[in-house]
Amino acid sequence: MLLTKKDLNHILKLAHFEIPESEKEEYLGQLAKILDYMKILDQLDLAKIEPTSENMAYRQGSREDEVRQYEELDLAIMAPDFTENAFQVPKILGGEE
Amino acid sequence: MKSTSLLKKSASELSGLLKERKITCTQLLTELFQKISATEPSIQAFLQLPDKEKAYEEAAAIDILYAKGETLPLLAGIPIAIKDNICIKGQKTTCASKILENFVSPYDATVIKKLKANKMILFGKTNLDEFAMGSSCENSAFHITKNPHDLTCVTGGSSGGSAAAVASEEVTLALGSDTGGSIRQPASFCGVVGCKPTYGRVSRYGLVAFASSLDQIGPITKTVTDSAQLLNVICGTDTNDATSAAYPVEDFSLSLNQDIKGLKIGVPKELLNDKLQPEVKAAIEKSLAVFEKGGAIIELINFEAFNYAVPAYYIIAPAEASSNLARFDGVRYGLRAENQINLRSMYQKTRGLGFGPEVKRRIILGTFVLSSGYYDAYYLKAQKTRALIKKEFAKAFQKYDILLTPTSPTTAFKIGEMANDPLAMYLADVATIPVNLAGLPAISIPCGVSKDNLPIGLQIIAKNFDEATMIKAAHYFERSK
Repeated sequence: MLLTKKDLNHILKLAHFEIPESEKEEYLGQLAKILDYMKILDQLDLAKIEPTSENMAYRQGSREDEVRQYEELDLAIMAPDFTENAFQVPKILGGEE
Repeated sequence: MKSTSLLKKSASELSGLLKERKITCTQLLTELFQKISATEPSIQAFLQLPDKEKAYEEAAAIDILYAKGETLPLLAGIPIAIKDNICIKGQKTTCASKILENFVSPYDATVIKKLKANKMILFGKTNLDEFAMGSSCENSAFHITKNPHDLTCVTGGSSGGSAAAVASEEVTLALGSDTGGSIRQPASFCGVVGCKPTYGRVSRYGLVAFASSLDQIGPITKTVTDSAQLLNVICGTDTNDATSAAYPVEDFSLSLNQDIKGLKIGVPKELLNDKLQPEVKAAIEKSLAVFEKGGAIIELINFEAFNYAVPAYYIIAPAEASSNLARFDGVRYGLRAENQINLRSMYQKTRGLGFGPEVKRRIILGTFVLSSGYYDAYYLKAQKTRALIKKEFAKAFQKYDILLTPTSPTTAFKIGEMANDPLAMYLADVATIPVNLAGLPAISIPCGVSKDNLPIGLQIIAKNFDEATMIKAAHYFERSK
């Protein structure tokens, strides 16, 4: 699978981070090699196999619906900008896309 | 020679000496701090050195209790270093990333609460590959930890700092985390014991998540006995972690000093062939003879899962990571790019500045395999492969008590050797990754050294929740080799 720069830009938009233009070719080259290696999975006959995404044996199950006291965490202390009891951020709409 | 003797001792030996009042905690810490002064400038195992004042205060308090003849937990007073992706309240937890460079955790991980309840001395935060993504400790945003056996070689990763700290005798015990081999592989490269418990044995509450269905915290120690005793402390059901198993904790030290007559051992042919570094192959073959001498029955087996686990893992783990690392956005904590025109720009700039190349690579990979049009071809395929791998292990464990492999196909490679070839780095995890996909317990124990004096590790894999057999076999080998 050869990712194009357009594919990469789309993924970066989904993943919410940027890479300098000058580095994109290098990432594309590395990713191409990795995705090419994944083709080995095509050798397997997986038609009748149910997928699994976890290893949870011996589940705890639901707890009683009762109020629990948890430790008060000082959320403001690590916040880049916390005023009026809210995390302040730049505007959501508007500006360059 | 007495001044170096405490550094060489295991936690269980030190525990005995403390109880008999032949040594004090303060004495032990003095030697450790002297050792750190001498070796840490070259090894760089720590991101945050242990707080001397606090450590000595805790040691003095424990010494008073011992002097009074009080009964204390087995590992009371033993110093333990913590991988810097495990949260300690009031201390920095950086995950070796710029995005958390100044993050101070507001709470203790469950394992930390257990260590404190056992009066162990928290002894610094150790280096790792950024967000536990890597097999060499070269992906840390801050510095590379060097292998104590050869400073030009990597420690392995991602728990490279913890493995190096124990191997260089800067600390008695350490905790690491293991998602695809990140405890076992550095333990193998550094010549120490590293154990990944069964998935769900140890709470992940307070472990910064990389891949939630694969991550487990585990001990890095000098001996199998120490591993068993530390497992006793850290295992247990936790209501703060929904993936924590409702399974009782047995006393793992009861599995020590057992014989192995009749133990059925399967050895996957796929991991004992000419693709291994010849010295690794020779060391494993020599080790098999030790088990045979003890009465174990050894058979070579076909185990195709080992051919497919790496590609499946490098779809599943990055997919989970892309989700888990979405929280690092500059809103509530961590790095925030300043003066951004809008929220989206802030996210992009913050994460672009804050994440290193390997983390970015994996988030890109993970986002891609989950994206529309590619989910079935990659992620669904990988999940089915995972199910197949679990089935193959279950079938093997119907016939065998444990499986035995090298922990890594090679000894520690040179720093920088694999820097430009991520795929080559990924392939180094061929022996450890399948274990995480199936959620099994496994331990790496030293089994030899190469002609360059680099350690070689042997991996023992057991079935789910059968740490007892794993420890029994590992301890037999350790005392018989």
